[in-house]
Parts: sequence; structure tokens; C-alpha cells
Amino acid sequence: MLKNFRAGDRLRYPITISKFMKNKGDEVQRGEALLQYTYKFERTIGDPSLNEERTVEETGYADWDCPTEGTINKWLVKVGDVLTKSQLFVAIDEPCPHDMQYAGLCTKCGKDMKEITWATESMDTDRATIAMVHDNVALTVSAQEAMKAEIDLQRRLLQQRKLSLVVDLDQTIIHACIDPTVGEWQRDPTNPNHGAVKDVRTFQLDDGPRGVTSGCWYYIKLRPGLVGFLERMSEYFEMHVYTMGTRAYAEQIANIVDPDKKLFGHRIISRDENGSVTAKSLQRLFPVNTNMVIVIDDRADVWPRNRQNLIKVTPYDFFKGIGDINSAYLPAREDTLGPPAAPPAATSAPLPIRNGDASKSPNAPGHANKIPEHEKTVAANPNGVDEALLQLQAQEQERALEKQLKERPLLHMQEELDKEDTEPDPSESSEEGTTTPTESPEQHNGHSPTPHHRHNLLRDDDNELSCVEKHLTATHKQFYDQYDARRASRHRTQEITSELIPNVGAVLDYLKGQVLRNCTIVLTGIVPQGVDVMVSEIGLQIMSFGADLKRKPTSRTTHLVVSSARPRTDKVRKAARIPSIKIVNQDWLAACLAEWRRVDETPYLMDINPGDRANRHIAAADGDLEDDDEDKSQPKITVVTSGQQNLFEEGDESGGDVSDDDDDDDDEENDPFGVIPSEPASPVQELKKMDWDDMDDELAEFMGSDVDSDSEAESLYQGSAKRKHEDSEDGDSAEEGTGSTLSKKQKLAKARTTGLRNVENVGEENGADDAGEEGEGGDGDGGKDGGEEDDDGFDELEAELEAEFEKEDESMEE
Amino acid sequence: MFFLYNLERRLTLHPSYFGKNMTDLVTTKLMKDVEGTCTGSYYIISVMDSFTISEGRILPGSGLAEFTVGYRAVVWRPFKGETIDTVVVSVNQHGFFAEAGPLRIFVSAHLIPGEIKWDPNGTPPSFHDEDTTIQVGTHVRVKIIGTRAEVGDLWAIGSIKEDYLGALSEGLPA
Repeated sequence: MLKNFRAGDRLRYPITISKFMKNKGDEVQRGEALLQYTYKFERTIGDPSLNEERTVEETGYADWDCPTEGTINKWLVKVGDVLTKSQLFVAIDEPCPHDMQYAGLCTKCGKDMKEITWATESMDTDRATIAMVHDNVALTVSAQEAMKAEIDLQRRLLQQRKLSLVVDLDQTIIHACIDPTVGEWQRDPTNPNHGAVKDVRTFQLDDGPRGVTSGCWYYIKLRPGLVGFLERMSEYFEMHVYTMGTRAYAEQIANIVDPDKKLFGHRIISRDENGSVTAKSLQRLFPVNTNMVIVIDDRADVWPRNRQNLIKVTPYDFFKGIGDINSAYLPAREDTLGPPAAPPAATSAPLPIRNGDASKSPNAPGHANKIPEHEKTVAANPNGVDEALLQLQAQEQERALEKQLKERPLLHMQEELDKEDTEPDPSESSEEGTTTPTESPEQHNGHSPTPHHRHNLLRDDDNELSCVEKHLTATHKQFYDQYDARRASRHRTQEITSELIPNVGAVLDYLKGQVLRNCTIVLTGIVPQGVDVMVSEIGLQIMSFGADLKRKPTSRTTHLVVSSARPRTDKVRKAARIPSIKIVNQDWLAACLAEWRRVDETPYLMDINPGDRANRHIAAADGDLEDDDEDKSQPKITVVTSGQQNLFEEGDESGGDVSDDDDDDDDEENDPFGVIPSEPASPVQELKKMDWDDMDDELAEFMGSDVDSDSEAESLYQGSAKRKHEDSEDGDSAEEGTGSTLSKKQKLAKARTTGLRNVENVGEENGADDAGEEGEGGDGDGGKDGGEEDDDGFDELEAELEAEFEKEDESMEE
Repeated sequence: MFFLYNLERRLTLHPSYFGKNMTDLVTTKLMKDVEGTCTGSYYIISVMDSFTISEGRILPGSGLAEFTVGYRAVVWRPFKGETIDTVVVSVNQHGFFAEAGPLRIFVSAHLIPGEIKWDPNGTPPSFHDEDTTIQVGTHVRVKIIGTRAEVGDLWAIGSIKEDYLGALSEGLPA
């Protein structure tokens, strides 16, 4: 194997090659001198105590030692060359390329790769850095070797017309828990849950010291239809297990789902060999290319680098409230759609709302800092893991398991269910809600009750795998159709080249992209506040399914997806006025994402509060205008168009009371149209756009009016924050002086007759001034000198001061 | 290769164990501590006997007694060039792992005779030719061609690309 070596960075450049000690064809050993070179250096000589120091330039002679053993193939420099920096030096034919290593030993020649000598320029262990076998991280290969292995694999798969399928365990194909209640139910045929748990598999696991949880029983529920699913899929796919559980756990599960080792064989990778405790990566198994790999997993966020290849399945949540017992090692789940995934429309049986809904609560802190974390771990430390983090997570997991053993959440839930059964049920239909007390009745949208004599907590009614099977076979077919087409277009059929192989990720993207094409979707109440919907898990998923995700509803919006827990948000009210928007609950979205087709919306339509729909005809007529409003992200002040808008605002509540009523104004401004920007805008920005002449008017007016009118002051531009203000303002008449001055002015401006709002002419303004209220003597200046800004500023200040004084006086009197 | 080796070890004993059967306690503790460990270049397989137990010396401050025990143990040290019998524990496209007691040896595909081919489709996957199959559980005679030691661990690379090496017929699973 020919390898070129560099001179190295540690030499004292510039150097001059003076003599070759070995020539082409010579055998060399590690550490043997290969050539001589000279370099110049400065030296201080003389007696420092007598101040007779001086520097002289001297020439040094040195040997360059061979960093490896082999035969010299070619010198890449000539005698007399001057090198100013490290460059390629010599080509040496090595007997062994050391391209596959096991724990620091070359697997071909058995030499120790971790040996370092003075001549070592780069570590031999760097020649093979890629760990690509499932069950051992100590075995590493070089990039070439990895590529060779992968091409072999692809060729073999193409011959068999298969693809690789990487399968997650927990909550994807099985659900595990250690709650001993399951065992009790299993042994008790009279228990209502007996039917559901009777085929739950168990094993005992003792993987290391774990205190209370050591050697406890694990209860494993296979996802319905799993055996057939794996059986059929093994015809199209070569399957791998990739889990965040421990090796021992993974092997136990594999024993259950694949006792003959026909499906997965030994292709199992677990947390112990993963190299990262927070993220999974296809590159761990397929380091060169992932063109023929599909992943099925219930979590997308653990595959930061392989989203394209992922088919996200609905998490299997059989043991309710248990979640993923191996999830302590993963970042907190932020699946905002929640595991319930809702019954797809196709299922005939009514499904319970699972208490996984609880996970919908806004508990996804800091999405942004999560991804860097995966990348850090993957990039910085492919094999090792952060010990401290690992330990912390291990403790966390242990605590979680212990808690499950002691608290027996399932037993409690069933007890609660039984209790509710014995009590007279207020409404039969609340049956489903009883699994968790926190659930609100709204969540029963679209579910019909089924009477039971004694209700069972666990239900065995998941049909996700049949959907996944459909997707997988469709993808497989599409992939091989493409492959055949490409092959047919070339006549050299023998050679399989990489460009002949389609990228299954692209195939998946295409198939998914068809699902919600032409849909424009807006979410409300689904993504927790403070998380940007565009980068949220669910947002990314929606976009990958071809839909156009928008932040706010417009007339182009086709679907508004509402969280059934929070059915009346601003967006809902707004969308309710646009008839073309279908307002559906999140189950519709879940169904679409699970079934890969645009599910009929009818069963999922939300009941809209009639009040919200009240004047949808007006809004519809005005649709375009509204769109324009929405599209501008800049906050817009209402002064200019308020005359027209008041019409709607008032219509909303009092039914077409068009007149501009001073007293009502406070309330009406709280605008259901969302015209007032939801984010609090900076008052300074508002000031820039304000009509200064108007302001002068207001000022004049204000000076003339009683200061006590404060009580009506309403801050116009505090936007959404205003609602809170309303409450406090009702009782509290004396608003703080400076803070509200501006709002007072605005208020007053609004209070005046509408016709003159838009007028900017100074003369007319004065007229308006007069018409409005009798101005006091001194304040007339403000209006008249309106042209000059400086004066305005002074006047304003003056007015403000005066107001302050007056107020102070008042308070003194009191 | 196995050796009988004279070794020495210092042990401490808690004051609560001080009494007439101290010697037995020290010996028991010695076995518990050293049997099955790897010192870096060899494994201590079994303690044969302990021939000298020094007088206990009380350690100042803690009250523990320290004994210096001389003992004889069977140790096993794998050598480069040694041929040993192993059991295959894992097979992949790059080669297979085999275990000889505590030592895990990797045999890469380069050091498997060319006619024994990797067959990924078999259940389980294996290396095989007409008359031999190397899969998990197969007994294989391997020649060690390199070892590396760190404190507490040993690794080795093996080869079956020589005469009389490879799968042992009696070890094949039924």
C-alpha cells in the first residue's frame, strides 16, 4: 500500500535537503534515518556579565526519521531543495495499510497502533476511525474499507431487491413497562384488563447494579400485528434494531420478537454501542451513504442527521402513562401532537383519548439548545460519551424505574376508573375521560361512548403497523421502479454504479410531499408558547408532508388545526370568519400524518362558537383588506382606518352599532380581527408613524379637558397586553402620569368625530380644534405653530409638566 | 500459556475481623480480590495456595491491619504466535470475534482463508465454504498474531489462515 508522508510540522523551517540516506527500493524500519537536512538558527554567545553578548547564525544538521516501515517508493523532494513549510516528502510502500483495527491493534498484521515514537508524525489509529459494526465499537475501519463494505452491501441488497430498514424498539414496535400490576392482572382472569394483557411477554433483566430495580420483571407488549408485519417486511427489507435501551435489554426484546433470529439476525445496535446517548445516527451503521436505508421510529428528534430517511410512527402507548422506559437518555420529548395520535378515521371502534395528551402541556423548554447538544456529542466524541452526563442519565432512569415499581401508576389509574364506575356517572360519555382526571370534556370530540360493565384501562386497538406497512411497501416499490427505470436507460447492466441507485430519502420526501400538497395549514394552541412553529417538531413534520405552514390564518389558508384542549384562540375566531378555512382538531393532522393521505376532515371539524362566526360575511367581503393587514408584519396604527374598523369591532358585540361611542371605545379596541399586532410594539416606533399634527390637536384638546378623564385612558398600542390592563383600569382611575399621557392623547383623538381623522391640513385642524372643545388661552400655540417640530416638543413637555403639577395639586388637596 | 506464578499482595483487614481465624479470612479475601482479574499482561485464573502471610501491621489512623501475602496462582498469558481454541461469539462482514476464556480475539476477513466466504444472507450470518461453517457458537482454533494490553484489559488479533487452524468439527452446533 502506497502512502505519502509529510515532512512534519515540528522541523525548524526553512530546511535544506542535503543528502538521502536511503534510496528508492530500500527497505526501511520505523525510526530509521532517511535523509539529512540542514537548517539555520541563531545563537547567543559571549559573557552576559560583561555585556559582551552577541548572536551568531549557525547551521544545524539533522536526520529525518522514518515514521513507518516499508519500502521507499519515491522521494518527492530533491537534494538541495529548500522547504519553508511541511509538504509531501516521501512515498513509502507499506506492507500493511492498517485500515482495520481492533482496540488499537491492526487486524491484518497484529501490530500495536497506539505505539508512539519520536518519529511518529500522525497516530496510526487515525487510519481507521469509523466504527460500523453493530455490536462492537472497538472495531474500526478506514473510509475506503467502509466504502467497500457498503458497496458490497448495496450490491447484495439490489440483487435481492431489498432495502435496509432500521427499526426502533420502544414505543415503535413494542411497549415496555415494569409496573408489577401488569403481572397481577395477567394472573387474574377476572380483571377487566386481563384480555388486553394476557399476551404480554415478560423477562427478567439484570444489567448491572440498579438497587431496587435490579432483576425486576419487564412486561413487553408487542404492537398489534407485529409478528406478521416483521415477517412480511423481511421480504422487502434487511432489518436492523436500533434502540436506546441497553444491549441486554435489546437482546431480550429481539428474543421475543425474533426468536429464530431470522428477521434481525445479529444486526442489533443499542445504547452501549451507539457512541452518543442523546442521538441516533444512521452514519453509525452506514457511514458512507444512506441511500438505501429507511428508519422507523416514534421520535424524529433523535435523528438530527437523518430526518430524510425517517418514517415517523405514532408512538405505541399501551401501558398508559408509562411512556418510554429508556427515554431518560434522550432529550425531553416534544412531540406536540402527543402520543394519542387519535383514532384514524378508518377505525370503527371508538378509541379512548389516551392520557398521553398530558404531554401536550407546554413543557418543551429550549428547543433551540437541543440540537447543538446532539451535534456536539456526535461530532466531538464519536466513541466516548460524556461520563458525567451518562451517569446523571443513568441515575435519572433508575429513579424513574424505581418510581414505576413503587407507585404502580397503572393500578392507580384502574382504581380510579373503577371508582368512577361505581359512582353514578353524570354523563355516560365522560367514560373515556376518566383515564386521567385532568382531561376536559372538549376532548371527546368525535368519540362515541361504549358501555362497559367494568371499564378496562388498557386497550389493544392500535393499527399503526398496517399503515406503516403500506408506507414501507409503497416506498420500496417506488424505489425499485426508479432503479429499474435508471437501469433500463443504460445498457451496461452489469456494473452497479452509485448514480444508478436512487436515494430512498428523496423517494420518501416525494411520497410524503404528495400528502398535504396544496394545503396551507395554520396551527393554534399546539405548539407551546415561545417555540417557533417553523422549527418545532410538528412544524417540520407538516412541512415535510408538503403543506404550506403559516403563522396566521389568511384567506389562502385551507386548514386551521386547533388543539382540542384550547378550542377558542384568537386564530380560531379569526379563521371562523373565513368560510374556506376548515377548522379541525389535531387528530385530523395526526391521522393524515399516520396514514399518508389527506383524510376527510368532516369527523374532525371543530364546533365553532356561534359568536365567532357571527359576521363572517362581512369579513369575507373584506377578505382582501384583511389579508393585506396580515401580510404586513409592521404594526399598524388604527388611527388612519379606524373609522371603518370600528364598524366591525362594534358589530362584533353590539350588532352593528356603527356610531362612534366614546364610552364603548375602551372595550372595542380589543380587536378580534387581530389588526392590532399581537407582539407588543415599541411605542417609539409608533411615534414615528404618528401624525404629529393630530397629536397637536389632541394636546390642545387634552389641555382643555378635565384631567380626571384619565380614567378612560386606554393604551392603544400595547396590543395584546391590553386585556390585562382593562381589569386594573376599571377600578383605578388615577393612571400614572407620564406613562399614560400619550395614550390619553390617542384616546382623545379617537374620541373625536371620525370624519376629520385623516385630515392633515393645518387650517382645518384648527377648525376641528375649535369644534371639539374650547381651547385655553396658552395652549392655542400648540395647534398654531404646529409646523415647527421643536416647538411641538416644548409644548408637549410643557403640557406634560402642567398635567403633573395639576395632578400633584389634586392629590395634595385630597 | 498457563503458568504457576509466585505473587505477592498486600491486603487490609477490618478490626472487627481480628481473631483466631484471621488467616482464613485473609486467604478468602485474597481469592475474592485477585481471581479472575487481569493485571495488564496476564490473567490470574486461580489462587493455588497462600504460603506466607506476614504479621498484621496496624495502619495508623484507620485501625485496619495490613498483611503481606505471598501466594501461588495459575496465571494465563496469551502470547503472540500461540495457538488456542476459542468459541465464536459474534460474526460480521469484517471478520469474527472469538473468546478464549476472558480474552476476546478478533479474526479479520483477511486472515481467514480465501475460500471461506462471508455469507450475510444465512440465518445466522456466517463465514463458510463447502465443509466448514463459522457462525456464533462454532469452536475455532486460532493463532494469536498480536496482543495489546492496558491495565485491566487485554485484546488480541487472531488468524486462521494457516494449516490446522479454523473451525473444529466437534464444536459445530448440531
